[in-house]
This record gives sequence, C-alpha cells and structure tokens, in this order.
Amino acid sequence: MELFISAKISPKLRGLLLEEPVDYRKELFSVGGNALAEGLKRYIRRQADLRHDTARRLGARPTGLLRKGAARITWMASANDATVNVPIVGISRAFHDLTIRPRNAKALTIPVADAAYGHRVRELQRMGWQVFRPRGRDFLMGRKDGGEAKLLYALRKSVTVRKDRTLLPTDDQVSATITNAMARHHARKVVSAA
Amino acid sequence: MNSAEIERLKELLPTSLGSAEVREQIAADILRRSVFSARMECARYLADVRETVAQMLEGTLDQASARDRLEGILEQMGHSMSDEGGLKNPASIRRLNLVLETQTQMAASVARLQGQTPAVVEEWPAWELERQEARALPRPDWAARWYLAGQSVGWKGALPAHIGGRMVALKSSPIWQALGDGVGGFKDTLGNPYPPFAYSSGMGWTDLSRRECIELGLDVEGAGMPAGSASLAPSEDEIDEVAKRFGFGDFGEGLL
Repeated sequence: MELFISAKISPKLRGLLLEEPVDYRKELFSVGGNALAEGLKRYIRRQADLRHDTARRLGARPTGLLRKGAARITWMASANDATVNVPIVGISRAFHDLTIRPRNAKALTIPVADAAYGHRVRELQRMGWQVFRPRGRDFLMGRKDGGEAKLLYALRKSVTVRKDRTLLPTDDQVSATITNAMARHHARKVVSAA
Repeated sequence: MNSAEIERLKELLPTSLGSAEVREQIAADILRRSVFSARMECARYLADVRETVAQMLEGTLDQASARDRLEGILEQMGHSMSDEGGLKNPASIRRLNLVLETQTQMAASVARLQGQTPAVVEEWPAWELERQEARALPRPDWAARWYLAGQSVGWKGALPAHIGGRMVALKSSPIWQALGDGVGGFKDTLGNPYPPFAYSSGMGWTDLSRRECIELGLDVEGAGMPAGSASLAPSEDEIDEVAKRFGFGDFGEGLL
C-alpha cells in the first residue's frame, strides 16, 4: 500500500511549499516522507507486539508478518510529493473490510492447528504430513509419522476480515507527524539563514 | 527508486559456489547488485526469485505464497521436494526463507540509503541498530560485533559502547561497513554497510533525531551522507569481467 503525503500536510504548509523552489520542495518532502516512514515503523512494531492472537491460540510461532513488513517500509520523494510504501499484504484492512477468495484453488485453507500455521498444504506434505480431505467435509486432516490424524485446515470459499483501524495510525497522527517534521526543518533553515 | 524497482534492476549471478566462497571470490559491489543463491546455476530460477521478491516488496505477495511459488518452480526443475538438507537444499523451507528475507531486507536498505538527502541526514543524523524482527535463535553476539567494529574504526562517528549498551552511530560512520565486513572474525556477514549485515539477522536501523543524537553525545556537526549507497545496476560487461577473472566461464544458461 502506498501513502501519499501531500494529501496529509496542513493547508498552511501546502501554501508555503508552493512558493518555494523545486529543489527545496523535494528536500522538505524527503523530510516528511522519512518522518512518516519512521513513525509507521515504530507504530506497526508496537501493534505487532499486541497481536499474535491466532498464533497464540494455536500454540504456533507467529509469522512476524507485521514486524517484517514494518522493517521494509520505504519512501521516495519528488518536488511535488513523497510516497511511503508499506509492503504488508492486507494492510488496507485498516480502512475497510477485506474479503479474501482463492485465486488458484477451489477453497481457502485456514489453519486450525499449530503445524499448519504459516504453511501451505504443499509445504506440510514436504515436511512429511499425509494430508487428506474426509469425504464430504470442509476441512483437511493430516497424519505424520504414522501418528494420529489431526485437523489441520478449515476449507472456505471466502473469508471476510473485519476492518481494524488500529493497524495504522489515525489520519491526525499521520498529518501531525509529517507537518511537524517538515515545519521543523523549514524553521531550522530559516534560523540558519538568519 | 522504490525497493521493488531496485530488486528488479538487479543482475543475476548464477554460481556453483557456496556462500563463503562467493563472498571471498566475487567483488562485494557485484554481489550487492546481484541476485544470487549459493550453488544455484539456473538463471531462470534466479529471475523468478527476483520477481517474487519484488512482489513481496510491493506488498502483493506474502512470504508463504512466495515460498510456495518458488517451491513449484524448483519442483518443475526437478529438485527433490524433500525438506531435508537444511540450508544446502535450495528447496528447503529454511533456505527459501533465508533467500526471501535477505533479498527483501537488502532491497529495503538500499532504497532507504538512496532516499537519504542532506535534509534527512540533518534531521536524523544517526541510526540505531536494534532488533526489529524476532528470531527463534537470535545471535547473542551483536554487542561484541559492535564493540569490535567500533574499535577497528576508532569509534569514528559511533557511540563508544560498553557491551550491552545502545548501538548508535552517525549515518556516515565507517562502523557500518566494518560491521558488514564481520570485523573480529565473523564469517556470516554479507559485506554490506547496511542491514541485515549478516545472514538471517533480524537486526535493523531506526533513525535517531538530531536532538536524541545530541543527548547521547554524538557530534552531529560532523554528520554526513551515508557511504555505500551504490547503484544496483552493474553493466553486463562488469559482471562478465568478474566472471572471467575468476574463471567461471561456463554458467550453463549464461548471464542475463
């Protein structure tokens, strides 16, 4: 997901930017982009530490989706804007419900066991699991090393994940982070020039 | 340039060498700008790795799906789909995670380095090295690595830290390259002055503001632009020259 910071800065700062030369605008947008990227990283890392409900419920190790994504947030600046890239699959759930449907399969496989969490069926098979679907049932079971059969995945035609606005900071927080950083840098330049 | 574009710009470096040999025999700059996987000679597979990583960096592909895709390709190529053999098996889950994580971390770091402007460095003159991703078995020696790297550069631009202290240095400090070079005898490093520094590391950079730097006692007036923001697009001639120099004439499918 990409966030464009020009839409988030205060009208006063936007007016000021219009009067500045191109190079300086890019400089200011780079400050705004970096401020938002760093703020998002910290925010998402904190959110990641508050989650892991599914992994915990299943007794599995978290996949670290949010923390890994936060560490890979980057940004680019131009004279007209800065774009912050948040490479986390499903992060748009911060703004709306997300319905997931299978792309190359008949059903989604929703892990319901620790062994299945974070793995596709093919991987479990490679790890020595014999995976099978009981006739007429909407789940997959598996057996490893001749042990007891275990419920591994629920099969679903689609899954809707509810909107969770706390995945990303509020618009006000985003706006304040960018505006404060850009305004502070501008003030530093004005003071230096004086 | 964003991290996905950076990844797509990388050249492919098919090689029959293991990781340590690759690092010793091929110039760090070439490695930095290439997609390679130890003992993987198939350029087509490396191109698939590159595209898969680019999609992860765009946020359109998660890691499990990325592994699944590469597993499918390796299976088509006739690789054993057993998960045994650990890192030496190109199709093992551990190896695939290592490739995907290292490539995405490196591309994100390079994008970050390329984004540094004098204004950004003025506002955030330093980085703090800290754990950003959990690991099942985190390396216990980061403080020692920091200490030895710092000693080797006379703590230039770096906060002299006692073991266990904060690992903070100016973006222009040579300590970052020393850390990436594994000063002190660490053999698991990648030779880069940016995270992840070592294979499978979950350590990363956090920007520190000018005010925090001053409070910590860093000389922010001496702050400069970071080193190591090299281009990621070597010419074919460059790679060809290195390949010939080290006698890797026959790459099977050839360099792309």
